[in-house]
Amino acid sequence: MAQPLVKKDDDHDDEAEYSPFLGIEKGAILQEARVFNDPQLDPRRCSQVITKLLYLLNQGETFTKIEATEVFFSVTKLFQSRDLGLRRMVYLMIKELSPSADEVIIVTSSLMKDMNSKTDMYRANSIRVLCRIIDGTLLTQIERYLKQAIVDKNPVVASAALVSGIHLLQTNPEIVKRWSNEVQEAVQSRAALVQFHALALLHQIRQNDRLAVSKLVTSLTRGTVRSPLAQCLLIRYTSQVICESAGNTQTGDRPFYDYLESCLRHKAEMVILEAARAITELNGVTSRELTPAVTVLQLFLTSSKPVLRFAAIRTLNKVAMTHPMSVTNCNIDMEGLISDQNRSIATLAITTLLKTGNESSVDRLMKQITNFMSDIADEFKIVVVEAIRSLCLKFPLKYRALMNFLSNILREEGGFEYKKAIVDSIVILIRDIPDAKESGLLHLCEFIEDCEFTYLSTQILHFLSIEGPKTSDPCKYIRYIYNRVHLENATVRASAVTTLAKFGALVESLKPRIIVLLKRCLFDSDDEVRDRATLYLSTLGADDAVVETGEDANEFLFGSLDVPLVNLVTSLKNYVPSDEPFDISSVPREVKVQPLAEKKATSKKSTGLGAPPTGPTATVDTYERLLSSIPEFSSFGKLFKSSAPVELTEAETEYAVNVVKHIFYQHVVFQYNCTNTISEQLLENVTVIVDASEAEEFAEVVSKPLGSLPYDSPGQTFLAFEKPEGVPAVGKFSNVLRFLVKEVDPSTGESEDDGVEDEYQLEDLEVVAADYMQKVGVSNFRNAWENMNPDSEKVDEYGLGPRESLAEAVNAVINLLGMQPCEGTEVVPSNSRSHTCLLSGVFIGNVKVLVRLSFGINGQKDVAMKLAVRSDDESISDAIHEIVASG
Amino acid sequence: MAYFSASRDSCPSVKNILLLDSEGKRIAVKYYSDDWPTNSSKLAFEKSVFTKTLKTNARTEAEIAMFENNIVIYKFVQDLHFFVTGGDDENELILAAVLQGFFDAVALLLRNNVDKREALENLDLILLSLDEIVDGGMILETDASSIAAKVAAHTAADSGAPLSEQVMNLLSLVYIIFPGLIIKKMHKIFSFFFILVQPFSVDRSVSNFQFCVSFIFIRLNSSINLACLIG
Repeated sequence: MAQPLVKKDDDHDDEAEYSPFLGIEKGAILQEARVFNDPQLDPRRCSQVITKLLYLLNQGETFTKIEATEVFFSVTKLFQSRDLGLRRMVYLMIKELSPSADEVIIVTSSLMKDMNSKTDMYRANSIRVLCRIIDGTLLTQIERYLKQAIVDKNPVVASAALVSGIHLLQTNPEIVKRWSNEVQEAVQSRAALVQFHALALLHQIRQNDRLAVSKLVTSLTRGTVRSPLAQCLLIRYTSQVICESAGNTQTGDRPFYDYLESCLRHKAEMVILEAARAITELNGVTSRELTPAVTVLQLFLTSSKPVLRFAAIRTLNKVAMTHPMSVTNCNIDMEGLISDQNRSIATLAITTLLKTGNESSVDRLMKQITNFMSDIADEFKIVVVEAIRSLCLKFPLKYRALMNFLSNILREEGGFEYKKAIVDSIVILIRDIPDAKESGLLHLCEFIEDCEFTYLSTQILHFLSIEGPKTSDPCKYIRYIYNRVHLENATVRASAVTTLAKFGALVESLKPRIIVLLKRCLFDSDDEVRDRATLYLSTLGADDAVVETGEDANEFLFGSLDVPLVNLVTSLKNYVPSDEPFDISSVPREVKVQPLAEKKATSKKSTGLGAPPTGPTATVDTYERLLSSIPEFSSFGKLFKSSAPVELTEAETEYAVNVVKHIFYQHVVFQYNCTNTISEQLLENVTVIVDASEAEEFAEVVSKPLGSLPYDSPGQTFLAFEKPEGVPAVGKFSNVLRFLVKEVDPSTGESEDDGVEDEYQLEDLEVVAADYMQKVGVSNFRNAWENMNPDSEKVDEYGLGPRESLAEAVNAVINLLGMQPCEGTEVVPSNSRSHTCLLSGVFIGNVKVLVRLSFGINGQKDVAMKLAVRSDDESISDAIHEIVASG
Repeated sequence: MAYFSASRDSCPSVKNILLLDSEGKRIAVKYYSDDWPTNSSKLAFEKSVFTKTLKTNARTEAEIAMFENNIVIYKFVQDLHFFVTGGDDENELILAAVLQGFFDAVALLLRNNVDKREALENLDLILLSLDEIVDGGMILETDASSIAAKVAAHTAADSGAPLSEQVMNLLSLVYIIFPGLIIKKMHKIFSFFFILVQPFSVDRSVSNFQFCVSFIFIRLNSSINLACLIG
């Protein structure tokens, strides 16, 4: 007992604020720590001081290096005392101080003595402390004792050694792996927790050996597992084994499913939950397999324990995403949870119900949610809004009730993220449900009447300018928009002016009135607003001026910006002010493949009001600059597309060569990037000899050899071919690198005068149809699709044969066509049986192409695909089909 | 310290255990994950967890909430707030078992007088029980009486220990003297000591009694250990 400062009386209520650590101070305690050095140790007092030190550390106080060392050394003195309680505190203190390597040596011998002590408590704790602070070399010294400890009779000692083993495996795997015999023995231990720890360690040792894990699982699922924790662990390993073996068994029952199902009848709830969760997460789980798991989870829903209810509803929520029908049985229980005290449970219940509910229950559900919305946090509200959005897309007929709900919550208080989620949802509903358009737009209009977020106001105004003019009665929106010009800040005013102008240009009958409104904006206090008003007034032809520019004006106002923003920015930065005006068609349209992380972020965003995908374009620029610096290629015109580098050599060979294919309208240029990796050689007059016999349509025109290629500094050689104008000619080229080798003395760097001719075989290079396709994204695929001439549409169906998965098939087609996936449709949800993928691109000759791919997969993994193409040029649509048919 | 990724095929792991007072101040906290690298990020986490759970009623049953991809299970008693945090794909019931183990062990060690003052006065016991429950994120033990027994082991040999420990010593001695006694008969001895204890402190004897019972039951399994202690 460390703090006998106050005898315990019944009067503590009088001094509620009392704390034994009141006014504690680091300096004073460090002074007090000197008692550790007394020749006559007082264990009680020492314990107290250690407690105080631990209290300080726990409160976030830090010791300087010197202080820590000092404390550490004096604490080590306490090993002299035989007091058990004090020794425990010493162990704790050493762990907290985490001494440095040179300090560790001081305590190792004391700890090693304790490891061999007769007292179990000493053994267990000293093992844990020592393993926490030890390094590899010391570990080999004590390895023998640890192995003994693993099979120790005392379960506490064995557990301590096993858990330490688990930690050490991260830093010294090769040593811990030697213990597997002892660990194996410990798995058979009668002590429940020893088995748990041994199982965890054994699995971690063998986790890369699939067969061994499978064997382990097989033997244990038949044997006895004593503790619920170990059982949970075994379930996890089992589902891992099932997952890995899934591909092999095409027919019949899943291995180990019976075991998982039997765990559903275990007496410990944690095991039941673990098993139920494992079953629901099986790959391609059938509803028959799901039923028992859902049944036990349903029982949990009515438990008195919140934790159990939460766990069950969370699992069911996940199941509902993929198998809503399996969960419908629980609907009544879940409805009871809507009024649950715990808001997390209530939210999960609602979102699950929204997924599983049928059309008839929607109205009732909405009523319940309305009551519930007022008293939950914003983050939960966003979850609900998203669930409602997907519900509405599922039951378009119910849009009225759902749209009303959304507009109601839009009027209530809420943060930006919440409002944005609602606005996004309404926008998506308007896009996807034509009937909802008019009412949705009016809701948005009402919202901007009283909207505190500039960002949302401008987004809505922009959206209005696209959708508003197409409605039956566009003039009713004008009032809302013009109100903005009076009431809002400059940013919103400016976008309101733009919106007004678009209405004016698109709706002929409104034009005169719009011009009146715009004229009033000419006296705005903000220059951007005035500028915009002036600009639009002149493009709309207000001053009875030329209306012949109508075509241009329309293009200027409503033609979507079809170049990626980032590319535009870099081009504008490179633009040198001169007499020549900036030409927007010179901006590269290629969307570069983005790093994975970035891609994820954009694909998530792209559902809402999202911006077109953007990406870095540095490489396009550098290629363009490089090529334009070579006079031979200057007559080829504008670069259409550069491919990603294709490796023509294996990694780590003498010469590393990759090639970039540059496509021009009438030419193709191969840029061979060569690297010489032999320091004793200098290569001169490097060329690539290409045999184009398998590429009949190509004719070699220019070859540009590389003068010299010293060690480790890359150089380029170019080769240009002529091909028929604008035709996507394909072919195969075989390459040989030819050069003059000169020996180099690596010490002086001087080369010999005489060289030897030599050749080096490279891999073949193919020009495929995808090389003629630019990856150009569109921000709104549906709009772009509808704007294309429907006559150009060509539809056909293809069988792709057996494939590994749907995702693999989708990727294969995307790569074949070399087009840009839109709206994140390149991601195939796991387990789905069908998928629609939207692609866009620009084909050589600047022909816009849009592709809609519908995939389906059957039980035998045969994939069928329907391909619909629309493009500016009908013949190109056919060409796309040809690519797919031949690919 | 070793850290685990809490993926579905790895070991159950605990990210932190917190014991806060009724104002959200630390009594004892222990972090096992590097999700919160600095003291200020730890404090911020504690503050947000504390304020978000403050209004809930977690006095009879443990409650649960999600914070920034973590599951937090919590239970309150008097002016003490207990929290256990784990990854969001962790089995909630395993975390609940850890919380219950900690909660009950503290109750046993503080002889059911679980409040802030008592906890601070016996901070060493609380820190030791944290040490016995989880080691670097790995669950060591979730059974409250085993935890309490391991922590209390040393105090039994303490000469100046308070009354309860002395009683417990006596009880232990009885067990040593009559090793043949079966558990049923132990009950009679307990009642005997119950009477013996009563005059000292009427209201606390019940908790002492409970404590001793659980203590002796564990010791039944490792009598040799006890012999060492007493010897």
